[in-house]
Amino acid sequence: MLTPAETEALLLSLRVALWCVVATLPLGIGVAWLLARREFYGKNLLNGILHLPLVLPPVAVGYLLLLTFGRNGPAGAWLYETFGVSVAFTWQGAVIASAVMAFPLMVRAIRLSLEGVDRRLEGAARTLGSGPVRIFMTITLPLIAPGILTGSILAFARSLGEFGATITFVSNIAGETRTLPLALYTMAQTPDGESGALRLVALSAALAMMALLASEMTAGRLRRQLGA
Amino acid sequence: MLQVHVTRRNGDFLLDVGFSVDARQILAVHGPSGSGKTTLINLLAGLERPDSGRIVIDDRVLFDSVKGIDVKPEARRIGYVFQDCRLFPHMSVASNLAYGRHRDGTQVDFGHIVALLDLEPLLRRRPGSLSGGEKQRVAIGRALLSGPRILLLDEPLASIDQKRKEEILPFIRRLRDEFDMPIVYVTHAPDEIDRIADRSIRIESGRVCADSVSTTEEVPDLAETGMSLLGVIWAHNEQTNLTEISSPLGRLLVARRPEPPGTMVRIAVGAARVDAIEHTDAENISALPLRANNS
Repeated sequence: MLTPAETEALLLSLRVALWCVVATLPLGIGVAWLLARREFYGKNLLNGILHLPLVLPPVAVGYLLLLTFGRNGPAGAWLYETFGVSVAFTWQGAVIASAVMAFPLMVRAIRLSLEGVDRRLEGAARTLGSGPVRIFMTITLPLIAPGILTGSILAFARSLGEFGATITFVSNIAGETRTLPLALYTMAQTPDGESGALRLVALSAALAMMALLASEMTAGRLRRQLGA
Repeated sequence: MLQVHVTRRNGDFLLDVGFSVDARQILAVHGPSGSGKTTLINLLAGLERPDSGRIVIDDRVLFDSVKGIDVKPEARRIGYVFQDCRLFPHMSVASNLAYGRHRDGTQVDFGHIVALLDLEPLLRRRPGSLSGGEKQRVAIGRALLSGPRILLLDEPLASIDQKRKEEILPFIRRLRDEFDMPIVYVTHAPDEIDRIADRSIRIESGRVCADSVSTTEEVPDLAETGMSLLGVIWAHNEQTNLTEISSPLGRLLVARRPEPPGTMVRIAVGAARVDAIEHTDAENISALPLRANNS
């Protein structure tokens, strides 16, 4: 049904998007918690920097990543010398590109949800003998589960659609960094590639639809569990 | 026994309250809304911090501003039943009840509490599906199962209709008889005080302005004494041979008394023995912040 090239792009897209969510989730929860619960010097600056990828052209973000994580960039040189790892022009680099683009969306969703948590419930948990860590694990985290789900879906979707930062940072290498949007772009540039491009459009739409349905179903189950 | 004297300033509002409650005693705290009742029990639970004062349960100091002691709320072992219950919405009733049972020490028997509060039919339900009265019973059970040394109830019947009240009041009376601990019961309903309290104090604008014990006591001749106050013996100072008494007007120093700390006493101040001074920083002098009225 799918050509080998299409299967390759589809599986790569899924892999990049899943890793993007897994990698950004712990940090996203941490940063959202800082922004929602703590006052500190430079909070507005941090907030501004986090939101930059939302307003910058993705190509600019990709170029900055290339400067930072390229073999000669500060982070890239360190990674290569310490671990012998190079992320430029690899699928791991594609994960970094989409993670940076998706991070503000994830943080926003989790932060909103954290701000909606009734802090009096945390006070009640304290009188019942729970310290801050147990309260976070047993009260706060379950109550923000819907926000974490929303943030994850947004990050997943943003990663599936990521194009500009990815192609600038890790280029368009078949089997390594050619995700669905990049494959579609390649196909659209190819003479007689119209039918192939259309197939990729349909494939992308089907994937997005499934992700949305799955999130709706999970959200419904979570809402019932929260007793709402 | 619970002994308290706390002050806390919140803008223009000053809460300055002292009292003590024995085990197996229900103390009702009443007064108009905004008088500081909920602030008072938040201070006891550690959810808010007093500016100064001392909170002691039996021999354990929970707060002492002079010695810099401030035990965290999670280590205070105070059972707090909130006005709005604050049941955890993402847990079943059974999980809510079990939430505070991870602490070491005396384990209150789960089945006993469930039977006492008639919670068996509710165990598998979610807080969202409970009635107001059912929620309060679960909240009381949850607090008791955490093995508290005292129990604080903040207007537990405020949002409940009369019929449900009749359902819960007997439970609270049974708590006093079954558990050997002081109970502080905040309310603004006089009928609840009459029905369950052993003693009551009234708080107005942050001060204790009446103590029900006084109604059964013989009031000294005011013309002779000039002023009569109800207080609690707070501490004895062996060095100065003085006794410190916590009163609604602040701390008073008197000649050494024989009664142990925590005893309720009536203080009579002779009119001829009161001096008006401008400065209050003199040592070992009790100064009351009063204003002369020349009418």
